[in-house]
Amino acid sequence: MDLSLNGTQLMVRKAVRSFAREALEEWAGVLDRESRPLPSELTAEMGRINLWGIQAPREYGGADLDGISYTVAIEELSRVSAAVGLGVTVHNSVCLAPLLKFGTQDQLNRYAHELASGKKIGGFTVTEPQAGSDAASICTTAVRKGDRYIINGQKAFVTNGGTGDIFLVAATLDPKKKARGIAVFIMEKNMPGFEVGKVEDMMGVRGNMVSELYFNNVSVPAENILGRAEDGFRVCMQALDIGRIGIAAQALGIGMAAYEAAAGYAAERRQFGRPIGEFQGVAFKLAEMKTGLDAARLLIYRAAHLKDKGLPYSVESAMCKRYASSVAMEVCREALQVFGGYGYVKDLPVERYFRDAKITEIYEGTSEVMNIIIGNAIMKEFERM
Amino acid sequence: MKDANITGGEHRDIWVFAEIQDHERVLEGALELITRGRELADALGERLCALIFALNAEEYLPLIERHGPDIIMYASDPALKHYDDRIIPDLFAGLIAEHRPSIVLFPSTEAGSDLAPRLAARFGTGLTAHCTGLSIADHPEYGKNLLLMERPAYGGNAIAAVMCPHARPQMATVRQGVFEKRERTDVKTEIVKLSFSAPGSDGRIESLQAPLRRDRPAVPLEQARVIVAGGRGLGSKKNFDRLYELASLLGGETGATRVPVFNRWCGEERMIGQTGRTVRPRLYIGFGVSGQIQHTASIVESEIIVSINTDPESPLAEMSDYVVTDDAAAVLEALIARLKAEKQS
Amino acid sequence: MLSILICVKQVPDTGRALFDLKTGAIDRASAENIVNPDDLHALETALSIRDTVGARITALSMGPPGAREALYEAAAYGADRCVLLCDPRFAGSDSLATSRALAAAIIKTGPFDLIITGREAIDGSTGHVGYQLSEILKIPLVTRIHAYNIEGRYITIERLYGHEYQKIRASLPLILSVGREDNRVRFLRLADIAVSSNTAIEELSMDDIGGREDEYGITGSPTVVVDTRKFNHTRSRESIEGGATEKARAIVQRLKKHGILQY
Repeated sequence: MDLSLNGTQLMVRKAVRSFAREALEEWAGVLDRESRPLPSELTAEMGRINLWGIQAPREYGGADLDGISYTVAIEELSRVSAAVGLGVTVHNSVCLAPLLKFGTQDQLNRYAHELASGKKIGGFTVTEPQAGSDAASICTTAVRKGDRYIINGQKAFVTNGGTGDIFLVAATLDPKKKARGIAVFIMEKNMPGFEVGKVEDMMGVRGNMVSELYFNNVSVPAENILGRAEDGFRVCMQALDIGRIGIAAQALGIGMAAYEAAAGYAAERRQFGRPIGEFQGVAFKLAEMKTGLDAARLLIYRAAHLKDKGLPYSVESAMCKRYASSVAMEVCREALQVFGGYGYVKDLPVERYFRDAKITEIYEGTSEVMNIIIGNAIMKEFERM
Repeated sequence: MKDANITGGEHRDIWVFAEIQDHERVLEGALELITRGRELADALGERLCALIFALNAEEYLPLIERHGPDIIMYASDPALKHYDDRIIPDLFAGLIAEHRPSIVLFPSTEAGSDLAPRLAARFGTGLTAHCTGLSIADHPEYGKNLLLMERPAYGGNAIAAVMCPHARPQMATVRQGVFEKRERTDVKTEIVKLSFSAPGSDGRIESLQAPLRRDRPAVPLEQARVIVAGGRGLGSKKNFDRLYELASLLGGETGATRVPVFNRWCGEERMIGQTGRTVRPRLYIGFGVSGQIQHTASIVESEIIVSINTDPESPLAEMSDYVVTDDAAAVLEALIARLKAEKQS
Repeated sequence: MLSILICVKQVPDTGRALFDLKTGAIDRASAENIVNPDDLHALETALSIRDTVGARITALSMGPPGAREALYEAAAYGADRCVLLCDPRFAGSDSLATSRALAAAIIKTGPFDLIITGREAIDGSTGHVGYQLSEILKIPLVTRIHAYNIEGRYITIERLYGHEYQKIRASLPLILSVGREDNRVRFLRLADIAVSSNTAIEELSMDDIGGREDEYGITGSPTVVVDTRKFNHTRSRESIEGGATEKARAIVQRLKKHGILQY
């Protein structure tokens, strides 16, 4: 058992870190303040360096890296900008990854290269105004008409909604069948009747154009169903298993940023004649932060490692997301406390980390839903005994 | 590979490369080095020799003479107007081979940093770069009267003391501003004009046009002579912006710690304390800078450090030559006013 | 097609490392190893030459076996061939012994049309190697390149010199020394990282490059570090008193004393 990163993973960390510091850092605060997306040149540069196709095969323009490298990249991006980390992880893990896993050769030909190269940005959407954790209760409908489906409905809180081009959309073929009636469609923004609704004015991750999507008689070719029609719910659940690892890595990145800022400040800020980090009240906070972040990172690596080996990882994915998001929230809260008044003003990014961290406990399944998944697995295990 | 290492016979005397800057004035660092070389020569009981290669070199002789060398050797020729790596190393190497100095010192300028390593390679001898201290010392193993060269190491966190026990000459490039220049009236200087005729080009590099004066670009911080840096204690972008005026009055550049960069008071290119960015100006003034380790480690090599902030116990104050305990913005305004008044008078 | 050699050195990241409080020496365990920053700028120059006129790039590093990481990184950026000069007998080399070893390795692996080095390494900060390679290999060196254009066997270069610039035409082979203000290093492509770990690295020992043992390593190094101590950051700390105006006057007067203000 080797818990250290290998040479490739270390180089990925170095490369993404330097890109984040040198190219993204100056934008992180701007995206947050102005709630605007990255400039398109930067999105394109991210494509050139394969950030939009981190695990995609090389034939589609991806980097073909392993899952641990993937989490490392998301952590490093999120350390500088949680909003950019979010856009990248959603594109890679819940749009491109399911496409690569379930897509037909025709679908791969049409979409994989476009997405992996970043020429098109992707998203994934199940959630609706009335259907969140209870994904099976969605109301967006798909009605077969010849060799096409007609989609009607509305989606809510769609990451990359405002900037994305290609979305995996869950719709029901038969509401009576509940989960078994769900199919996932590959939809393009330029399809007639596809409309982007309100871009949300959010507490955090404001650099991502999270939005509503409306489908008004959108006609989608039948060959755009991802996987088998009746498999939609399974496609969604597997996508979320992958997605949660990415969100956990995002949470870890936010937490690391807050921790490093707090530790740097604690070493620099002097009160009563010495750095405040020398007072136990502050040192203990830093100790808790570091321990929590390291534990979260190990859970994330384990989930990614199981996925790389092709072993079941659904529960481990839920556990790493459940834990990393709580740690991130806790670390940001305490980091802000270390900064005192300086943490509360917008001159420093600590309050941004705090706002950004909160969403990681909510999306891709709330912490409570994670506990349901973990709890169900425990019961399954012990009831069998 | 053959080194022209001089092993037979005794090496004597200290030589200083008296560089002419921008072909119009004697480099300050050269005068400082002659002053220090004089003291070392006296300690050894040897002679100090200054070497000048320039166009109209005679112009510079009196100033150099006043700083006390025993000998000035000079060559004067239009081909020597600019430092030329096809001419000076050959000329200098010939003189070393002929006269066999024991120590040769160079200012660590662009020219000195080119010339010294070339000569060291030719003679197979040691060279210590960017020294901040020079003295004569004995060593239990290596013997008596050796040149002890001190230089910053490990990114400025340590000082390494270096000797060149066996090979000769012992060579060092020396940071400007570490020694004071001083005139001496008690030394009689012998002046030797060297015969020089410009060699023909070997054709490998040819000039397509004469060197052109250019406007000084915005100097990278690493090369700035003066840096005025702002930190959290300046309080606002408005106050931070005043640094630019002070920098221009002092002929320097504006730097920053992390906080102003975080706050977007200035761009990241002004941040001191990133990987690899070490500055070594003659003067560093920190306004409202408390001195986090990343920052202080990057400025410790500054010749003079002035701290202006409200905490006399701050890490920056600890390492300052001059400590001003006051509101940074207020002193900044006062300094700008004072310098403007002086410039006008 | 041009044949370009770049020198890369693996160095501890001195900007982020911790230091021993007594000796000031770097705490190696705390320091991440990186490719010397200036060497990445040298590599960038090589890559942009390859982009315009085509070239085969060889990366040469001298160091312990761990320096392979630096070569993998060079390969990820696009070096075509990687050579590690590695022998315990090279340990303790000063700048001259290093230059000799690199020169011998360059002769062994060459010939090259262009040799590109970083201006200086952040750990030693001597900046000697480029000049000494120029001396030992008898190839001219050009520094501070502002602009260049390659035409066959010639390069026209606009270079900065002091506060002047100069336009020159140089014939190949040539050595270029490149620093951080000379270009902007491109970002690594993740896809190139994934394949770089498969790069074959040629290893050369002291015997492979020839020469006498006393030219290299500690025995071949004319300089000896006789002592290292923590840099004493504490200075005179003269306190300047009075109101803001008096303080300003006092500062200006001190600056004049140090010859920083000259009027």
